[in-house]
Formats: sequence, structure tokens, C-alpha cells
Amino acid sequence: MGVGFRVPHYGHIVEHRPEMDWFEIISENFMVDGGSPRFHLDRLLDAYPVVQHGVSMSIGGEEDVEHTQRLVALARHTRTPWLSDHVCFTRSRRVNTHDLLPVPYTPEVLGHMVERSKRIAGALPCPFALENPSSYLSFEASTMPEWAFIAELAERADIALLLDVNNVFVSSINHGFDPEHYLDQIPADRVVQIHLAGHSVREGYRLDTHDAPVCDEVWALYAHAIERLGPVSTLIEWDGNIPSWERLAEEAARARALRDRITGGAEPAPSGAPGSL
Amino acid sequence: MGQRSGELPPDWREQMVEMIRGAAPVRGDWFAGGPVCSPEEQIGIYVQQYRLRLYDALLDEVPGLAALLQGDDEEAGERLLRRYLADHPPSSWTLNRIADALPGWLAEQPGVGAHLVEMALLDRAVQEGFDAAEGRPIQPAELATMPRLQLQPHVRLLRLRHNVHSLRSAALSRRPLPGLQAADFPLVVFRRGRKMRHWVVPLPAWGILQGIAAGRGVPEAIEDVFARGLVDAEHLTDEIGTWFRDFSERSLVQLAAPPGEP
Repeated sequence: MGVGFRVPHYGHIVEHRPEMDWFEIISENFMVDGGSPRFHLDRLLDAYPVVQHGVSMSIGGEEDVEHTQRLVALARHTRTPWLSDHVCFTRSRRVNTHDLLPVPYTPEVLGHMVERSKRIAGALPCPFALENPSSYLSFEASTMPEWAFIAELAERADIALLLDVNNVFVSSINHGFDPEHYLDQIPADRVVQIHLAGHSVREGYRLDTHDAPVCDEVWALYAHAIERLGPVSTLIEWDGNIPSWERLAEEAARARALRDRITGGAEPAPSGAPGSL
Repeated sequence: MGQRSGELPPDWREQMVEMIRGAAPVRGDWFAGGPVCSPEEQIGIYVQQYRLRLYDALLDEVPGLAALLQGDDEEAGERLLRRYLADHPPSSWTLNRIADALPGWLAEQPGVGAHLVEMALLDRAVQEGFDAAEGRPIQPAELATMPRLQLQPHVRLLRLRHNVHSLRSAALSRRPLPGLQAADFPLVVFRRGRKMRHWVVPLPAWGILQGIAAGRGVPEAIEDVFARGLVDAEHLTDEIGTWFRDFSERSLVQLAAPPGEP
């Protein structure tokens, strides 16, 4: 069970080394040459396994070579057991929106993402995983549902999946699909990690803001996912209105208790393998 | 709303990004809509998020400038920064570079005071130094042989004509801003520990650092400030040791890499 490594908790974590199985970092925040980010990362690495999760790979678009080079260098430094980003694109040739933009679910886009995923997986020193996005729009051009697109992407590119249960729930409200059906269509043997997070209720839609506790509906979906997937490494994402360390740890403990109740306390995969934390 | 489009053009990514940043009309016919939002409302969520995210990110990168603009006419300041974002949308994978072009852009805008441009330069210097690399600090004894030096990667040199460094310090520590003063402030921005600092140095010392930054050897850099009349021989003899001791103590310089190495 892990949580995100976020600035308000840096001091507490590196000084007190609280009990936590592992931490997730946003890769891009540490793809720098020095200073405070790298100082705190190195203190974290002294005490915990660290998993990298990124937001700027733009796997649905063109590769940014500088991004790839820095990402690979950081992965070697952290020795992350796997590394993830999102099923999305973030930029055009000229402009980076810094948003996780949805792609049309078409054979052409699927082929593009399969090839890019293979290339990045070949460049990384660890397994590569993609996360299902939360989304607020769907394309007229799409010819397949998101779960089918992601399942085929993972199989054809031979990559792992990071299943964000909150994203499934948010998108299910926004697009009107059955979230349990979505979870049931994801290839179980490829899921190395689960994300749980809170979100915001806006006028008519849900927004994936990571600024609140996990809601009851997402806890129920998490239980459904664990029943199907087993004891998968799970992470609490809390990036806005960040609470005290104690409150964050309490949310992680709740996830662990739920997972243990369903799996009988079984641990994730053997040490060193994807999904082993 | 136009006819629904089952096929997207080959450059759909480019066009969609232009829609999101408000540089092209929204194509509602590209999007399917859903149980809670129309197609136009769906893409509108991304348009709104883009505006919020990038403006907030820009403010984070230029906190000193933001404080000055918000202290004058906040709405006019926001319009100015949003025009910058429209002219210079981010292109890098990191938002840390979102304000890279801002000082130069501000300098070209009519009616923008020189102190605002200087504050933007100072903000950039601080942000660039914050997560730059740190070379091996040089020891005072190593300076005796006048080795070839270079600035530490986190060091930036600014020659300010206004006291924006004092305004920035006050704004970030939520103290009342001092009055704007016009004067010559040779400034070194550098990192000590994990915190960024600034130091107003004597002009000849700043000139020597400028020479080192330009790739001159220490004797040539000293000769240059002397030749430019920035210091007389007596003053130079009295102070040179102190300046280099300060450079060393603040870890502003490091041994230059051998030729051919970065």
C-alpha cells in the first residue's frame, strides 16, 4: 500500500520515516538536475521503494525526445519497479496543454499508441504501464469502448496496466457506462497497480481533482476490482487540499484493510516483480 | 452545431489543442456528448481547465511579478499575463519553463515599466537556480593557483536598475513593499543549501563573475574590470581576496571542466 510523495509531507517523511510500504512520485517533478526536489527524492530512496508515475509522455501524440531521455535517466536512478503514464495525449507539435486529453478510440490511434508504447517500453529499464484516464468528452469518431481499446493496447504492446478505479467511476458518470462492466473487461493479468482518489462533483459532471477522500462508490468499485484481481499494489492519490500525514495514512490503512478482508491478507506478487509492492 | 463527423482530419491533435487554448473555434461536431454534457460543454471543460491551469502555473513561476501586478491593477495584470500565454503557449514537457519568454515579451509591450521586466528576470533567475545542478564547491586554498573557473549551474547574474530584489523579498514574506528605487544593483542570484538567495555585490566583483561566466580566465576577468575602469589598483588589491573568499563561501564558482567536457 502506498501514497503519493507530495511537498507538504516531504519533511515529515524524510525525517520520521513513517510506516508505508512504498511511495509514488510524479516523474516530471524530479526530472531536474538538482536542488530541493532531488535532495528529497534521494532521502526518500534511502528508506522506501519508489514508483514513478508520469503525466507528460503524451503516448497518444508524438514523442518528446528530451522528456524520454530524462525519464529513462530518472528511472535508472530510482530503480522504480515499474513506470506508468496515461492513455492520452497532452500536446500538439507546438503547444503542450499539460492536460491529459482523451483520444478517439479508433484502430488508427490504437496502432499509433501500440508502436509508441513498444518503443518506450524498450527504452525503459523496467516494465511500462499505462493508466486509464478520467475523461469529460467522447469522440464521434470512436469505434470501440475505452475498456476494449485499453485491453487491446495492453495485449498488442505487451505492457502492464495501472487501473485507476476513481477514473473509471468519474468517466462512468460523465459518459453513462456501467463501471463494474468496465472493470470486468480489463485483462486481470496485466494490472500491476491500482489508483484510488477523490474527485469533485461539478454542475452535471464529475471532475478528477484528487482533492478529497475516496468516495463510497469508489470504495465499492475497489472492492469489486480486488475480488477479481487479487491483492494488487494500491496507491492513494491526494494532490489538492492535501491533508495531514495522519489523515493520508488513515486513507491508505482503509484501503489495506479492505484489500486484506477480501484477499485474506495475501500480499501482492513476489518481491521484484511488477505489482510486488 | 455542424453535422456530426465520423472521421477526424489527420491533424486532429493540432486542431483540438488550438480549440482548447481558444485559438480556433470549437468543433462541437467532433464530440459525441453524453448523459450530462452536450458536445460543446464537453470540450468546454477542457477549455476551462486549460485557462485555470496555465494561469495558475504562470503565477507560480513569477511570484514577484505577480505580487507587483496584483498590487497595481489586478485585472489589468491578469489580462497582460493572459496575452502572454496566448502569444507564448507552453511547449515544454515541464511547466517550470512556462515563463521563459516572459521577460523578453514584457519588454516589448508598450506601457510596461522597466521594473516589471526586471522583476520577471529576477523571478526567472530564482526559478532556474532552484532545481539546477550543484558542482563541487571550490575550497579557498584552491583559488591560490588562479585555476580556470566557471559559475555554479544555479548562479545567475543580473544588473538591476531598480530595487526589485527588495520588493520581491518583502512580497514573498508578506511584508509591506518598500518604495520603488532607481539605482544600480549588481546582483548575484544563487542557491545555498536548498534555498535561493540574492546578494548585491560590489560592481567590480560582479564584473569578475561576469567575466568568468563568459569563459575568461580569472586573470583576464580581473584585467577586464580594471580596464573598464570599474576599480582602481589600490581598491582592487585591498578587496580581491575578500571577493574571492565570498565567492567560495557562497559556492558561486567551481573548477572549470577540462576542455572538451561539458
